Amino acid sequence: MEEVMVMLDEFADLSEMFNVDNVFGEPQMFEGRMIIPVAEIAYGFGVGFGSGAEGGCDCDYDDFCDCDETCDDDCECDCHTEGFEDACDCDCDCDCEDYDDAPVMGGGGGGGGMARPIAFIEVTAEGATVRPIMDEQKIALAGIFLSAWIAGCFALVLKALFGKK
Amino acid sequence: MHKSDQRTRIVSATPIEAGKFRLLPAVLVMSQQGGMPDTGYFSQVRMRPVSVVAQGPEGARWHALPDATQAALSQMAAVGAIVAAATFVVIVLARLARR
Repeated sequence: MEEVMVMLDEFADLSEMFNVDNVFGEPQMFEGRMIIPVAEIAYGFGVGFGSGAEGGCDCDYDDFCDCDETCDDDCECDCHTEGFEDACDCDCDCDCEDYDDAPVMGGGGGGGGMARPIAFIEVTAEGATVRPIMDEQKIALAGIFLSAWIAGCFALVLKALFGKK
Repeated sequence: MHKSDQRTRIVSATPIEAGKFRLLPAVLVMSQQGGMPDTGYFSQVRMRPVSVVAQGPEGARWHALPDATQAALSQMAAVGAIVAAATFVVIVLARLARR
């Protein structure tokens, strides 16, 4: 649990790095004009954790398990693990000194962020102008998909109008 | 059940000094966070610039900051939906006419 809290603290520090001022970039002078880049910023993170009901037996099974002859060879000393008490007919004599009743805990997390330029502000002596930035790759891909979609619809219409019954 | 807290607000960023102009930006901040104490937490934030007000010697002027890519994709999606609807109508009419 302590590790999870550390991870949460680190993500909280990451959140403080991003604020609304990061949306507007550092003004740059270019050929007598001041250019201010503008971007959309998004970030997120998540952590998940869980705990088991009981700890298992950490002892060396071969040394401590005393299985009956009727038991399978792969009999394991899971006598202390919830749900495995009756797994086989082992005469399980687990004398494990390291047996731990404390719940087993685990967890993980991840996060990410992105910045997408959407425009830049051009400031000259005459005034400020906003110049939008278009992601041509996305538009081209969407255009290809839309063209295929329209072609498919057109084919369906032709089939409905002139196709055989 | 996950408890989730979603907030949307418009925040003014730090004014930008650009020559004789002073730019006052506004940013749309959408945040969502939630989770349960025994399973986990999540948080996500999206910050989108909305507008900028340029204050100069001749007065203040408001400029929108449009997302041109998103607008183009939305228009394309609208065209796709209209074409699909028109196709459906034509097919239904053609079937009715054949009866």
